[in-house]
Amino acid sequence: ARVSAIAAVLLATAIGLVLLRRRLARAPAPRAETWGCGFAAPTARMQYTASSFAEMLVGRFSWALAPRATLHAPRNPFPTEALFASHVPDTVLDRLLLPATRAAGRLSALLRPILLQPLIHLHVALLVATLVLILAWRFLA
Amino acid sequence: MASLTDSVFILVVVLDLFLLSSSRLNAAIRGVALQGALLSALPPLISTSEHDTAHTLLLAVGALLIKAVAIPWLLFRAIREAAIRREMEPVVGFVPSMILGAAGIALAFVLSRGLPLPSAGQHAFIVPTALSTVWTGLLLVVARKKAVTQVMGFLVLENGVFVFGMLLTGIMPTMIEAGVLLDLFVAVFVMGIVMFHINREFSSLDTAKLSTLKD
Amino acid sequence: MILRAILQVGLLLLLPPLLPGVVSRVKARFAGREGPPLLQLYFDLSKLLRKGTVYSRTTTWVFRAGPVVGLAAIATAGLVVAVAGERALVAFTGDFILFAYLLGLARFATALAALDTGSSFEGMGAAREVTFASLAEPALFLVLVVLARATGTLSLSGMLGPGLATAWGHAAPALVLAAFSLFVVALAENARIPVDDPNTHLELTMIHEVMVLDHSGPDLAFILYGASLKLFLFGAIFTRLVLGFRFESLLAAEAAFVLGLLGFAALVGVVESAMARLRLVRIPQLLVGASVLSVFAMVLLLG
Repeated sequence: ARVSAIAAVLLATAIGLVLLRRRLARAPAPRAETWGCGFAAPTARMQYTASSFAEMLVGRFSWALAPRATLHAPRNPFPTEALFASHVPDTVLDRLLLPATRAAGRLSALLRPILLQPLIHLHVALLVATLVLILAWRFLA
Repeated sequence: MASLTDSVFILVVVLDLFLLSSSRLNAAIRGVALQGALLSALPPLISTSEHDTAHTLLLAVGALLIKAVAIPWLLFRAIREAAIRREMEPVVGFVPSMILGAAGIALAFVLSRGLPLPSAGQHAFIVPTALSTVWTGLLLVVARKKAVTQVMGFLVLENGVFVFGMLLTGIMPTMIEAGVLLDLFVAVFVMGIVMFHINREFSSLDTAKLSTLKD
Repeated sequence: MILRAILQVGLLLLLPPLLPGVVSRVKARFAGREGPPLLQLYFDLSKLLRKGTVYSRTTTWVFRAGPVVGLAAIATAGLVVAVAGERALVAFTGDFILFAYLLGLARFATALAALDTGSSFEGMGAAREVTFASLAEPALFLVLVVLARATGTLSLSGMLGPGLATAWGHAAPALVLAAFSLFVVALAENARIPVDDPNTHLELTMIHEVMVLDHSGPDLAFILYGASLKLFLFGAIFTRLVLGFRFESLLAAEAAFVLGLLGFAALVGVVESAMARLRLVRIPQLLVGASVLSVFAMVLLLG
């Protein structure tokens, strides 16, 4: 209940501040350029991206995340083009689960000609073996 | 004054953490010197009335002179003569070594209550501090590349052994501790001479380069 | 009761702008200058409230909501902080988590507003601020956990209240280490040297200042007041932690608290004058060092 009281105070303060700001402003606010650090003609491509935002943290944990980056650095005094792209693959999925499932697929491809022959006594033998194992488990555990 | 002794022990452990995290050689050597000075103040604080006061004071002053004055002076001179760069080069980075050191210190404090050591009753912090300092010394030897920092690691290791010796002041005479100090003094002296020679031969004190000897 | 509540809210709302004035004055005196007047931030705030606002063409409602949500969150966080050793206005078990996350909400709003402008400069500041905050928050929580363990309660009012005096009696070294860690966290969260330089406006060295470059008029007033309020909250906890003893009368407690708070601001000024800003790669080491000190304090308390 106290937490809801605090949340209510938070909302009320926020709304109060918005109303205060609206009352203080006499004329509608003019529009201007964003601070571009002195660059004269910024375009939408020059804005801050998500990978730049995460770069510091990803670098600190690069031993776990293993980011991949492609870089064509600008050369020569008047470079024509340059490229940088970075990409963080999903570590557990790409490095652990997918290779594991691929290995399991290969293993089953090897076993398939052995196990799926139309031999009834082979299938029955497998069934009996599994049943014996389950019964023995109950007595061993 | 039990709490003053406890504060000294805690300050020694805090200095351990500082040594693991500092990246400049000068600050680290001063930290080791301060740790030595703190430890040399321990015999007068811990000794009970059955010890000879003059002996204890002599031991304390001797330890102070050697740990806090002579050995750091030797190390500073070694740095100046060999013109070593002022930064420590880590094999294990500073943050991982700090975390490892903290983990070792925490383990030392938790596990030392189970160790059956004599006369640890009135000063409960002796054994954990000793274990932590030994662990820090070993970590410094393993985790840094320069030979100077390995000497510092040995110094910190000896500080830890010195704190262990505090446990036995009631049982063994204090002369044994003076002997340990003298041993180390000779060891550091020899190491200093070895470092001069290494530097003269290879013009660098990076121990990774010693493996080029085999070509 | 009502008097106590009014006194607490009054202190919370009126005192904060004095603290940056004290810090600037101490820094100026260290440099041999006279320095700005102590009440400078009050004058700045009233001037900014009267000015008009200019918005950038690239911003949306997120940018306008940023300062408002930030100030509201910090002011609400002030409700759970125990001022001068009395019970906070709203106190319950686990309110320190609410405190930490309200401050986190304020930081989130400011960073979002900075990213909304689309300027790479401000985005860089937001990235740095968020990365360092992710390291400072465990340190803050560890300090609060050490306090909780030492006093045996899980509420900020209990941690900073009458139980603190007995805690100092039997766990003094751990509390000294926790106070040191808390000071480092306070420097980091309030963008002070050695983590950030509040005076420089160079790309190399800015973290917090960069995020608020585009705000103007009342928005900037909200941001500046919110920053001083955050400094006040951290100073309140630190002062109460250091001056742990009980006071007999309400007036003596409040007077000691205000004096302690001014001392905290002076200490911040001294640290700012004596040190240089650390390189960006060293700041994680500093914050991890503060966390490790708190862990050591916790180990001392466990024994």
